[in-house]
Amino acid sequence: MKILIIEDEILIQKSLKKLFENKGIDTDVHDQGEQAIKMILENDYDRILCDLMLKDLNGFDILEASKKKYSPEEISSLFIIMTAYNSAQIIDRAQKYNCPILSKPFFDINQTLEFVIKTTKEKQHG
Amino acid sequence: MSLDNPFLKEIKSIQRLAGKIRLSANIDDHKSATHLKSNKLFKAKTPLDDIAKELTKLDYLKNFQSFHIAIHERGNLYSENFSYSKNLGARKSKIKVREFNLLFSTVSKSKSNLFEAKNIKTKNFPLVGYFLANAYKTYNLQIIIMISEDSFLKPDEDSSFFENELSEIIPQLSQFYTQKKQALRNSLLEKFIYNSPIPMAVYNNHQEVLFDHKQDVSDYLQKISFDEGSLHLVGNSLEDSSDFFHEQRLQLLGELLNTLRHELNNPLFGLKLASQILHSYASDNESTEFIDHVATSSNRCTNIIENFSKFYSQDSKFQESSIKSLVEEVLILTKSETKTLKTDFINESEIETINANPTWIIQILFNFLINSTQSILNKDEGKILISITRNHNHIEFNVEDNGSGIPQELQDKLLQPFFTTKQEGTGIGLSISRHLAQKMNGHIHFKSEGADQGSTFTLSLPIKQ
Repeated sequence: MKILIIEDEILIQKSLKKLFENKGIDTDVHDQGEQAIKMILENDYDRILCDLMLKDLNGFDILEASKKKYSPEEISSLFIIMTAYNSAQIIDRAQKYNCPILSKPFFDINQTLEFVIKTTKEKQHG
Repeated sequence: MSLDNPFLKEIKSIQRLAGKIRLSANIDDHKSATHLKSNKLFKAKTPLDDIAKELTKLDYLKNFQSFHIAIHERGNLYSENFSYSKNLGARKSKIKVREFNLLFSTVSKSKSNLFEAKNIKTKNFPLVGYFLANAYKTYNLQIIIMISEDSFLKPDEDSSFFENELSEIIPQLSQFYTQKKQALRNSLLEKFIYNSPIPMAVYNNHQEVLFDHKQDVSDYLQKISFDEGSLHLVGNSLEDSSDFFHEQRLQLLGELLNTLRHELNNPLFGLKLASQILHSYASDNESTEFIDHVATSSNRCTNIIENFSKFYSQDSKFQESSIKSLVEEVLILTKSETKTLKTDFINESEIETINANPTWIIQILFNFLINSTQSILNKDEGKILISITRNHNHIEFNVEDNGSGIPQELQDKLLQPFFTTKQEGTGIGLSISRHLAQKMNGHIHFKSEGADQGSTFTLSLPIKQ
């Protein structure tokens, strides 16, 4: 299983990478939108955790750019949106992509990890 | 009422402004100087800046190239100078009253009307060579008119027009200028009132509204009457108006806290995650302990921000809330203030929930508790009892302390906005509380036997909304 984490808060990024790697998951990370889009287009990730507020782009830009490679259905099962901004507008917009949304801070980090791993495995096994 | 009341300050500054711009009796015709007759030189629609240009229309001045009218209005620190040159067009400048007076006396004392630019210190007028000038005085203005052929040759014109034709148009020039200035001032005042943070309306002596605040804030509208050149506050609705400001401030604070919460949540979450990982790597007790402290502290920060932004939320919805959890939340919020005191909570009302705005209840009780902790000087013996009681169809939240109490003479002032006995207090806590209680159809009251007798503050809310 290979996942990508797009997150510019350095401690969150490094911690999540470590936590996933401890579970034996191959984890790429990036803190910038443009570069992350390139990685998405060049690699085949099983899951992409994407923060909404990045320094150069926002998460929605990344989702839109991924449409070059993936269908809307694939996007909804590939991406997990992470956000610290839980305003109605943002949730509303995120829901249009039909992806799971994780509010930061995560209520229970272990539960979140399990959720990501479990749903990704289910997806892999069809 | 404290003298620092920002509202009173605001009113004073308006009064100063009004005084400065001398709202004169013709405030009624502020829209335009309509009653200037059309056959006159200065028409109502003529812009003030073209006042010097109008002189070019006078046949007897047709040989002149540049025209300057310097006007000083009594009481102003500067004079206004309007210039028009056939080559360069119109321009405006101003000079200090001292410089103007010097020029005015030079011109008026001179037996002839002829001057040489190099002998007159007038940097502000583009005068060259010789010029003709005369000075006039009206009821409220001093006017200097200077005209020049822009030539170094001495003009040989007869300058008797200064005394004859030109002096005849001085009254209408004066009237034109005064009315134009008045219109300008009134439009400034109108703009000021329109944009003022204090909603207000200005009335004239006939109780007609001259200007008013355009927002629909009629509950807080300050009525101001115009009388003999000054503005007066009609009635006394200071308390209502301070409520208006409280709400504005609270809203601002709420927005600020919300932004803070969003901005801080991310790095704090990072700290929390990182400390969790480091904890699993830590090899000795000391490092583990340090890392745990980092985790605890970042968690505490998250909770503080979370609670504060909830606390100032502008959500005015009523909802059924557990009385016990409301009180517990207040106790958590005030934990650092009450940690050395003995606090108790007892619900004697046999009622478990209340339908009201939980944020407001927390805000009011928080205020009561903070006041109590501050009134307790001897922290070791301090006690605060929060009790819930039933009084007919009302539920009462009582916060009782054994602190310094309230002296009899201050009891009347206690709920007034801006009243405070604390060095760093703002005096708005209790008045906000009262306002919030009213919004929930309740009220707050207090009792204290006097100084050093402790006090009890009560929030009383209807059981059924």
